Amino acid sequence: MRPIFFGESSQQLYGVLQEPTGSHFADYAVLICYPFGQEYMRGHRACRQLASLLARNGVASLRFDYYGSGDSAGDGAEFSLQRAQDDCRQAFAELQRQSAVERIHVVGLRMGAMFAASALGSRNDIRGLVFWDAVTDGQTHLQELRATIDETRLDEFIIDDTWWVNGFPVSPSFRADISELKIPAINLGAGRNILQLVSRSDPSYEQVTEALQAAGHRVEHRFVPGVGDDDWQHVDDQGSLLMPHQSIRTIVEHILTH
Amino acid sequence: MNEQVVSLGKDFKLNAVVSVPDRVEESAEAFVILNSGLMHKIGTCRTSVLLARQVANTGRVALRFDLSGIGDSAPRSVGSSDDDRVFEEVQAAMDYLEAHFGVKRFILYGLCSGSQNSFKASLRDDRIVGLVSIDGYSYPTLKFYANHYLPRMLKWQVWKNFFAKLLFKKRNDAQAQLVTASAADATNSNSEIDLDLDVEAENVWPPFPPRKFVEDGYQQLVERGVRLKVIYTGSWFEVYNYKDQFLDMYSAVNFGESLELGLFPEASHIMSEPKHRDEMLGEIIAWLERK
Repeated sequence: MRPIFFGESSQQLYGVLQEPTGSHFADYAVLICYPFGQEYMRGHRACRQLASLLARNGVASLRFDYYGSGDSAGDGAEFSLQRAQDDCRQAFAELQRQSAVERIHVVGLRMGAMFAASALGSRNDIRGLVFWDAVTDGQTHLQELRATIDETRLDEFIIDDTWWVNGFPVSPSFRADISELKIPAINLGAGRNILQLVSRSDPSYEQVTEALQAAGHRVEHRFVPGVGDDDWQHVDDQGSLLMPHQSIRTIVEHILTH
Repeated sequence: MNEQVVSLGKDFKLNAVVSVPDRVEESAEAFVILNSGLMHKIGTCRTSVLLARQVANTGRVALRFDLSGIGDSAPRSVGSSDDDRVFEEVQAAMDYLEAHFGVKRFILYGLCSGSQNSFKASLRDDRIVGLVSIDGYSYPTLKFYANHYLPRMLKWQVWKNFFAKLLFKKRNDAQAQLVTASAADATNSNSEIDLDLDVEAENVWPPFPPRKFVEDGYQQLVERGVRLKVIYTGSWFEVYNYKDQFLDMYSAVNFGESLELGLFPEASHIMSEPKHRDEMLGEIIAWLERK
């Protein structure tokens, strides 16, 4: 694990490069795009384990914090779709530079899938995409986020029209931007290799898979039930993390064999 | 203020971010932020990042880091006890700050297990001159029991449940899995691929030590002149339910001016409420700046 700051110093982004171990080095690398908000907290360790397992199989990776999140510069209130997309592009270039490979496989967890798909989906140097329990419809996701706010404490959690969802601000402009996003409507180039990995049985995921297949993409749809409480939005007083080991293995196996 | 990624330790490597003020006051204490449970160094709801930046704005260097096996620090196996390992790692953080910024006095900050780790470290290193503890150790007192049980005893439903439990043995559900998952469920369908995940030690909730150990420890810290900022949140009400419980828990210690207590009954342990979190951080910064 090699943590780095990259990008313009006043707006630097924090990332962790995981260099491959062993004797075989892949001719591609993996960009891991975190979720947003409390889901980022819950998914951080799972992304670290994904990076670690990829490294053991000879694949370099970079996971990074968007501007206004994690250890990156900026305030949470500044988080925006445009900026998250720019960060994905910047991280993509940084990974190409650091790993000295051109082709990048992109893994997006939850909202990270939406950021990555919309920012990078149409690039020619993408090797494939993994949508990991992806947020596929911005509007639906916003409704889910709004439902987590305690109706009896609205004055505490909605301040100047910014929602505070489990400790993280969701600004009006960010909401407006993501409400328009749907993964099937995003330009993902032609004939893309996609893994749609879901831990929850939900017909909407199958519809997205069918829509992507109809658009000519090669989509592998995998249902891997989660362990214990597999809800990414779940939050408790321990700040417990989600460790979906079988999902991680499935992603690694998919990337290595496609 | 600027932030840098740094590496801590000689025989091991821990990852940290240091927040450096535009002008470092060498005579001021540096601020070291520990992990809380398995949360990585940004802290619950990114509180550690906000705190580090606010501390840096007071002219102090602030460092947040991941203990081995947590966040972005690799695990390491050591023969020594967990307490010894954590202590070595906290020392590595202080050694780094001393070597690079000339700071010789430190304040440790910790939430939950971070509070426990910072307390134990402070007993072993005189460079630690202050502790900020959120939801640290707590032990019941007479007043705690009175606050806890008296209101319940006046409710019919509580008695009803009590007798119901006596009559019908309640089936225990399996304890919810917080962070564990079995590594045994691997279905390695491709023998060329290594699918063995590192399932690291994830028990970060050791039992509290005996109350007397903590009391004696605080006595030692007070004698050394260590400043204490101690805060409890509403989430801890099952174990800490009135502001001065801390004084009653450790009644043999005369804390005097060294202690400042805070209670945020409406705040959650992970500080997800922006108003209470900002107030709490404001209290910490004000305490830090008080001479």
